[in-house]
Amino acid sequence: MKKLFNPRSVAVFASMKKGKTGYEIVRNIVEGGYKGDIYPVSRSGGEIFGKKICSEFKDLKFDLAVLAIPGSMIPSILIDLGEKGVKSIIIISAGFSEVGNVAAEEKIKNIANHYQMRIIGPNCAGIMNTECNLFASIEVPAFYGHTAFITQSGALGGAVLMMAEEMEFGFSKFVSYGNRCDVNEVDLLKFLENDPQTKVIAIYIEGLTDGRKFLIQAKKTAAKKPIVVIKAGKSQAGMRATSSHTGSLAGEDRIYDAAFKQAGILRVEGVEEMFDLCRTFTYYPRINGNKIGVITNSGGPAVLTVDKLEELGLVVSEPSKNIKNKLKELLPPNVALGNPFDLLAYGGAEYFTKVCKAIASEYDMIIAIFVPTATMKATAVALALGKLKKGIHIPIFANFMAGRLVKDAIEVLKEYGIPNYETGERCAKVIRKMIFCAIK
Amino acid sequence: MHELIKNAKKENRSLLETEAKLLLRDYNISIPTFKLIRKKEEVKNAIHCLGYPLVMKIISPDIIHKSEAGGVKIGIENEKSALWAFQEIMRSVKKYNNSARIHGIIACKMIPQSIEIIVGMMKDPHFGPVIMFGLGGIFVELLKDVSFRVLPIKEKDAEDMISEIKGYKILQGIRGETKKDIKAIKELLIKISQLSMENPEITEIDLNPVFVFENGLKVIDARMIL
Repeated sequence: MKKLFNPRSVAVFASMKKGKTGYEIVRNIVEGGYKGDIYPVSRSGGEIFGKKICSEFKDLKFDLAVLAIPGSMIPSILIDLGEKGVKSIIIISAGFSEVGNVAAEEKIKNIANHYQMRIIGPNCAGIMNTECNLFASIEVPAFYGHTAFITQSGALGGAVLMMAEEMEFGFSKFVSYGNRCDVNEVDLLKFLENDPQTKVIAIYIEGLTDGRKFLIQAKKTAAKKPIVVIKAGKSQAGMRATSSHTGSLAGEDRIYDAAFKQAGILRVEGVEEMFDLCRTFTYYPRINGNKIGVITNSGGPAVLTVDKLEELGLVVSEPSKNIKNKLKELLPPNVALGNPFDLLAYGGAEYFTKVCKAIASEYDMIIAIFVPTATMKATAVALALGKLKKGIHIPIFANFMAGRLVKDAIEVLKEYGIPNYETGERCAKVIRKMIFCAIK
Repeated sequence: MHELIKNAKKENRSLLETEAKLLLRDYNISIPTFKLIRKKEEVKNAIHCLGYPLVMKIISPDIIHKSEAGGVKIGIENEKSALWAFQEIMRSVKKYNNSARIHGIIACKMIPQSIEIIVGMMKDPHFGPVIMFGLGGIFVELLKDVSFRVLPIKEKDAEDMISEIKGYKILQGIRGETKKDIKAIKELLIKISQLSMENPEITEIDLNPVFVFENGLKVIDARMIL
């Protein structure tokens, strides 16, 4: 498996005409900064992105072959590659089991077995390894990061990469694994479990071929690193869509749900939640306890947040008499002393700091909600939170609203290692999952 | 392979209610004492130590809907009624399905009504054997308030499964009812997990209903399909 992700040299078999798949892949590999040898292979010959296009490959030496040629040509090329001793193959080409052509896929599988090759695909969008700048994919290259993303759907993978680019969210590895004729989720989990660059694993699944094997591996891996899963095909319509898209059965969703729970996998509803959760894990690998203190300068958003927290079964407990007395001394007279701690017109840097410090001993984490006003400035509050973060020893989650008014403040928060969420409800969902993760 | 399963397979059928219950008993799962009566002449001796009231049911691999076939008689209070019930069941069942294979009639003491739970096992195409738990009646049928786990399960899985259902508070005792034996339910789930894993020939288990008391529980009816 390692050779697939860390080859010393790559050959790309495809048409190299501008706009074609091969062209895109070679461009991504070259412009991505890959340091190994790159061999575009096509009968056309010529040159592309500074690399000579080889019309013959028999004398070339390479670890990894990426195939984006017509499906009918693949078996014979595979055999040739097998004879050469190439062990790592990515097949981008489609037209296999996903359209009912199971026999052709079986043929490829048999060739792979015979030559002890590892194949990703067919019908996939390729792989990326940001550790060695390998972008053997038709999709937009990813930034460097610590989240691995593996997906059964190439198109969704592409969309996720685009969204990630916009958020400046990086990945360690990206794998669109297509039809899984050889390498499947179990193999990938095993590999990512032992990849030091990967701290969180995110998966998009439509259907599993061997659920039990997956569960057993997932349980092992989830004990080391969080696994976040989007499982599509919940609704009847969704199930119909997935059935035709990947040729796999959607399965009873409630059983998937139970199985994921058993394995300690965090199931999220969609891409937005996946990003929120994975992002948070890079800030806080783990949170302890479940007592949440909410501090705000604005009542409305706080209520929405607390509503969501309680709906999710989380604890928003009242402070002790001790803390209440402390707060009474610190705060102006008309500020209520309950949780959420609504600072009203006093919700500036000074009081945010004072209250955080005062309640930190009794809570396991703080959600700081802030809406800028004429007198209360976001950046100042962000700075204040950033500065006191280390001293209070509990995680702070920020919910600075809204839009361009808090853009700079969010950057400041980022610098101090405080994640921000557009809404308190999104933050609540993340916290709920992280608590589950910690107690599994 | 378990003897009971071997026999059933030989005859190309699933386990009878009596066999399913015996298998449960082998795993230390509590079932009401019963007797299988094959002939009218055996009735008197069979019901001798069971006590009243009795319920009598037809045991036949070919009759799935026992009540519909007239194969169930409840509230039997004495020997005379038991004899009558025996004959009546046989007559009714023969009329319903003349070629049904009759193994006999089961007689057991009626257990006082209590909170009902359901425990099931089935083979999911993706995950293999899966266990299901829920409160009986409309909770399962209408509200679909059930929990699942993939087998084999551990104690924690059993605990989670039970507390996960929306009707959990009912087991803890509401509206003047006492708390029910949740520990016994937990043990039942773990034993069914064990039973299922050790007898892979069984493709489906349906324990419905199971009465749960303050102390202990009893499996009132059991189906096991091969």
